[in-house]
Amino acid sequence: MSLYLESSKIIARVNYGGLRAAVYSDRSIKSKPEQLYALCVETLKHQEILNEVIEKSQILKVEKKLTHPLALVLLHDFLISKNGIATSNGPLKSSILRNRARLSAEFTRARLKRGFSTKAALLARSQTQLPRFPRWVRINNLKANYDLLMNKGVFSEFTPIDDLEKLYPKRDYLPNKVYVDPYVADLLAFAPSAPLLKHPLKKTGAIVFQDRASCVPAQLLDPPRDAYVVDATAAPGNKTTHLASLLGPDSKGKIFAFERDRRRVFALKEAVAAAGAQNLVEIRPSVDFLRSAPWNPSEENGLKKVTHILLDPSCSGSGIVERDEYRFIPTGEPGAKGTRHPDRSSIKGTNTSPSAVEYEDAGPGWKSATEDDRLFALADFQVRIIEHAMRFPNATRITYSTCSVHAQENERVVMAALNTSVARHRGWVTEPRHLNRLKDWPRRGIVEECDGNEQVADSCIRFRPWTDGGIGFFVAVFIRNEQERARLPRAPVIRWDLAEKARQERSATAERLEEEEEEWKGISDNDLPTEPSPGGLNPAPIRYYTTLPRGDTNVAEPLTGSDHDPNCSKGPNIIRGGLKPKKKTQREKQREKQQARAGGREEEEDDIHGSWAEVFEDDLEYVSKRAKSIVKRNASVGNLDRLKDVRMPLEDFDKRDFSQLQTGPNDE
Amino acid sequence: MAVRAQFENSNEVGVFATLTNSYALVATGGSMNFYSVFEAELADVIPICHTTIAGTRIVGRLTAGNRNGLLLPTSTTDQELQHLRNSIPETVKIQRIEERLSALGNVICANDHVALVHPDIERETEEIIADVLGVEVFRQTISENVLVGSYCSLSNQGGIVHPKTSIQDQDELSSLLQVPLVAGSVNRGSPVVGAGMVVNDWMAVTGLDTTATELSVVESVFKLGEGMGPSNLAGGLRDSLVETWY
Repeated sequence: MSLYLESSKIIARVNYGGLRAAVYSDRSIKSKPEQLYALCVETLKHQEILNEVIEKSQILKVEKKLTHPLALVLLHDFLISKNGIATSNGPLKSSILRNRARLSAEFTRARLKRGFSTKAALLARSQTQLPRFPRWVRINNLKANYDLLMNKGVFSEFTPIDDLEKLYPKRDYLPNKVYVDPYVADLLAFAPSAPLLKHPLKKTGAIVFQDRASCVPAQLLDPPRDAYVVDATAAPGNKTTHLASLLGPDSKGKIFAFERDRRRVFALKEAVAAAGAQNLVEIRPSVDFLRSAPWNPSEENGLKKVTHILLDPSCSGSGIVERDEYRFIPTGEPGAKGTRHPDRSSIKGTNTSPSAVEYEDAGPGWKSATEDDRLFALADFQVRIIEHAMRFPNATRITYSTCSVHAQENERVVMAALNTSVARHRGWVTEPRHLNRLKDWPRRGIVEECDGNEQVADSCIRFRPWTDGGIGFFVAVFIRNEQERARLPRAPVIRWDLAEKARQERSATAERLEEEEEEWKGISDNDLPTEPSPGGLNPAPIRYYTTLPRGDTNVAEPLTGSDHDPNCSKGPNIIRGGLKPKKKTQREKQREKQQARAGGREEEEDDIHGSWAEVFEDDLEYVSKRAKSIVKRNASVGNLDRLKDVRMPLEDFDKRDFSQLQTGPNDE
Repeated sequence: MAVRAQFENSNEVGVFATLTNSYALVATGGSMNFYSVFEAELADVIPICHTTIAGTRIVGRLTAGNRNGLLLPTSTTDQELQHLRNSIPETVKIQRIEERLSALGNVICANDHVALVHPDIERETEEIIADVLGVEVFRQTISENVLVGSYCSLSNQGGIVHPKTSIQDQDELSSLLQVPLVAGSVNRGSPVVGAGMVVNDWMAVTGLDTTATELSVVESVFKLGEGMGPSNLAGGLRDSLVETWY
């Protein structure tokens, strides 16, 4: 019984975040997820005809207990599935059986209207509409290897072919062909109908079903055998286990798999165990990658040694083609209950990898349901995660991938990441195409979205949904280029004594202001000058670092709070988060007046500490400018809230070894 | 075989008789002529039950049935019900149904697989029809006439509908019924083909006024002519059999 109730619940919200997420993210579900998923898929596949039956038979008016999604799943099983409704007699089943004659008559009528003389014809038709995807199979090197499977007989009944198109069913078709992917090692493609689902190799974990596009990031990361690797958003673990497979069984390396969501950690653990990668993978459960601290002394043998980082942050998933397949179409009937749009906020956690976005959520502004805002928030998160990865002291190679087709999440993010100060200082660039393993892959990044930079565009890899044999995907590889780095100016010298002083001031003022400002919510950017983007026309969708001054990096002057340099007030306008400037509240205005009365000196020092939160958030380059620009805008106490997000707890400040920072063009 | 008959000077044979593949009902008090038409064809094959329904002789309009079952209006008396139970085979389910549209013969038109019913029939009735007659039940109109039982005559071989049914409606109906349909009339142009005749898979009885043309249409669509019935081998099949014999 609960199977139908649960699947109806899932169908009711399938339009908000996708079917897979709806099935796997609901904690309250008791039925088997596979069964549930299959039922929902089949129901949604046939919903058009079932909707007609529901509407014509007016069953929702007669049977008041049925909601539209519930009626859909029950009718699917009653009319279409071979076994009928899979429960013993209960109120739900009898509500359908009471109307048996009417329902089957309306179904026949609807079927005939569509020109199918038999039910078999109808089903056969919907079968042929199945996506023409090959079944991609990755060989897990921890449990098997290519040679064993392909040359020593396990897959001997399959004939190798050299063209993906030949896999697809024809009239005289037998699913006995295999395609060896030239781009990704150990990757095979079979026909969708090839009998692999219950293959013993699948059960032992020797083969893994993984879309080709999602195999690409790990392949491009290409870690050497003993590398220390990070998978920043690991669940459900496909890429993690792929990395383990690439390291191989003899590896002395390590994979740190971060996953924020406690529930998804289970899936991750299962995947890792199934792949036999427990020794290689160290799961960091419920840890946010953004808060990882490789500079922490305890990471001496851990994150500090990480050289390769795989970033596959949550994205809009717009490239996932299945998702578009399955949408729930509510009927317009007034009797159709349960079709009201659920509040978006209640199902926010249903992103495929929900590690993103919700936790900072770019402030209270993130509730708006428009796609643009969502992309914006996602992009902001994506840039930050790249930026954080670039900060890893020994990292040499980073892959960034999304399953999105939107340039906002792809090329724009890459461009923004390349423009961050950490990238510029540490010499992170995208890997040129000729060095790339997938240099022969024809579909590259979009030049216009890379601000016309053909080199960057050429180094990005795109997979188009459907046509490229799977989901839509985007991958970029960042490497550290030593020469590039050498050309950069020295990092600014930081006055740590001032910093410390500011920190003390902060704690004093924070206490004082907390009393006045109990209701403070979020960050007030109201006084930020909103500059147009350099081009003047269409402000880039990512407002992250878009107003970087070019070639103005020589800011190696001591940080002093009271120095008013008029030029610096036009300094980089670093906007974090997805906040839009909001109107001043009455309260804020009052506070400003108070502060103005309190006098300049105190005010300025407030600002220094306010900026301190960002010294470590951002890089060193803009510190002095930043401080002054904040002085200018009469910084709000709201910046204190930022301190929660500093990646290193302030208590650890003093434990840090600053000697490198003070002298060199930073670490190493 | 299609024959003509008259019940007390009335051509509306379907009003006074119900004919199915497993039984026939005829109204009492008719002339021997009328009964002998049925008996000549059906005696010793299926029982012919002489009865009234709710004390009336319009048995054909008040009842609906097929090989599997017989539906009676709620006004049927207990004696009549008992008499029917005694006369027709035990395999046939008999059910009295409470339906506002009590002339079941006018609102239900069934063969052994499909039934067309009046669009306003109650939902419960619909389910009972499906259960008792073992058919798929479609709410339907025939060229915008709601009385499908009056304007359609149906067997497992074919059907005749109201003469003004459009080709499109005929196509739709025939795909629903899975039998060939023809728009035609009986009794010299009467459009009430359901009430004007009775038919099963072996015979049809029409009113005495039916023209030769109408009768030939009936014979051809219900496959009642010589060598056309279900017991006869179809031409193509016989040819192939003959070939193998010689």
